[in-house]
Amino acid sequence: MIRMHEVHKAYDNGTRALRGVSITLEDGEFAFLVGPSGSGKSTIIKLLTAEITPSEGVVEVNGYKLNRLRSKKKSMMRRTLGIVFQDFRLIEKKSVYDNVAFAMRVIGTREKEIQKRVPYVLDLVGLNVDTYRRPEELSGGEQQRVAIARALVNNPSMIIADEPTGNLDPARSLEIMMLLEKINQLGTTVLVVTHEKELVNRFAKRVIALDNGKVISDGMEGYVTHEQEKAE
Amino acid sequence: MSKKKRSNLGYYIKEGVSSIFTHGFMSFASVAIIVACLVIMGSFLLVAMNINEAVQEAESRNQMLALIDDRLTEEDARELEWRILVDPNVADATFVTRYDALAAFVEAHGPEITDGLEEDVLRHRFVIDLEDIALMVETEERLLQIPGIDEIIFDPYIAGLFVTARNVLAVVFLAITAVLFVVSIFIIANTIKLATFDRREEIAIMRMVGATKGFIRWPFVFQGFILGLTGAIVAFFIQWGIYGLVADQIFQELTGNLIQVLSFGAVADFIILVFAVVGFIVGTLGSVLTIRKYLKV
Repeated sequence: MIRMHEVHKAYDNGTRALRGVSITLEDGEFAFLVGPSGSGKSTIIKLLTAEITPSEGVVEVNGYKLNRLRSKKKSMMRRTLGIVFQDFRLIEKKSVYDNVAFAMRVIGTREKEIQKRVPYVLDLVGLNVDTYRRPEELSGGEQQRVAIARALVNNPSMIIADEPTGNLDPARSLEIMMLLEKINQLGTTVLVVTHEKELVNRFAKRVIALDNGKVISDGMEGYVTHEQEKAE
Repeated sequence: MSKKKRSNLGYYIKEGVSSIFTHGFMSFASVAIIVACLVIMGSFLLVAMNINEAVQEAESRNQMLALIDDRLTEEDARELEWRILVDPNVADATFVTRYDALAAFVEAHGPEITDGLEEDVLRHRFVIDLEDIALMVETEERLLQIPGIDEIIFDPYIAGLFVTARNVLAVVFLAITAVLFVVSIFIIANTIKLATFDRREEIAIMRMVGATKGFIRWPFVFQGFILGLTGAIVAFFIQWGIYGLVADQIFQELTGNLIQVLSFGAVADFIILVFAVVGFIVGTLGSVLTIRKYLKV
């Protein structure tokens, strides 16, 4: 669950990235967060993952209030999240299996449990490759599936995907989006940050549109731009 | 899904050791620098210990003489011993009769010098060894308060020289140790910095999936600890070899045994302890200081 109330964020250089953003995302929901470059999408991701704190307002994720979170609690909060990045962020020197297992090892899970869980998750994301191959030997779509498997392996209650299809062709993008939809149907909350209008409009999902640090629309009517908003 | 926790010690050590070999050259450079710093520090330490030993030996020969009132009988004079020994800075007091004192004087300067003098020309005396020769003047003042002690004879100039030598040695040793300590920490910190820079993406992912700072930090701490301790062990054996060469051969041959040097065996326990402690602190502190900035996210 995400709850952002009247959130403002100004960086040290004076940039006002967010100006009173309020968003609520209930457990089990699927939503797109859209907007042009500089609209504040990345700032919201950083706030939700506790990389930065808001200048004003309240940010709550999965029951954790993030305004003043101690280091240990920050780690615990992050264990409730699965994060997927545009550039996959896989560790090149580790195999597919170890990239996914790594996320379990670093939170202290026993090896026996890792051996059961990793193949299950790789199967869930539809990855049919030799799991001892290195990421560089895989296609972009396959690498993103590994990244999604890594995000899922600790059974998070929410997946935050930051431009997950930014480095993929349209066909692979659609596959990844359908995979995220399937994960959502299994009960995980999903927030997808993207600027790909066509892709967003293919799914009948909630779309939260940002521009200039403000929410300009929030609903099921697809990707709304600032111009459309003004025209209405 | 229930998650059973495992002990992480094995993981930390494995990752720390693995990182040492992944950055083989820098690890080698770190150990080499630690060895160099420890050997230089150890050499100064050994020189300081030898000089300190020599100073202590010389100090023990720098005694006070307490001359006893002529009117006291030998028996009464001997009775003063316990009053002298209660002084906190007196280590020992040996009574010398006026006759023994004259005999020693004659032996030292020849019989002619005492021609025509009575055999009781000198006074009974105590030869006093001190705990700390830096406190000679204060001790003199206290001893003169004892009825029956007439006069105290000592050489404050020589005592002052010994004290100065000891103090200068301590300051020089501390300064050199501090410089070498900082250099070692700097080098170790750079090695760890290189390792952390190389793994910054991995560290960022670890933070994002919820690894605690401690979990990320420990492998680097073990890495620094192992490098520091390895440096300490290598430095100990090199120090042993160098000291043996210098102490047993050069010193003894050049001085014909005039200078007594400490055997390495006598100080080996102390040296390995100092090296291990410094190696441990340098290695661990170097890694802890470096990893901090990568854990801020």
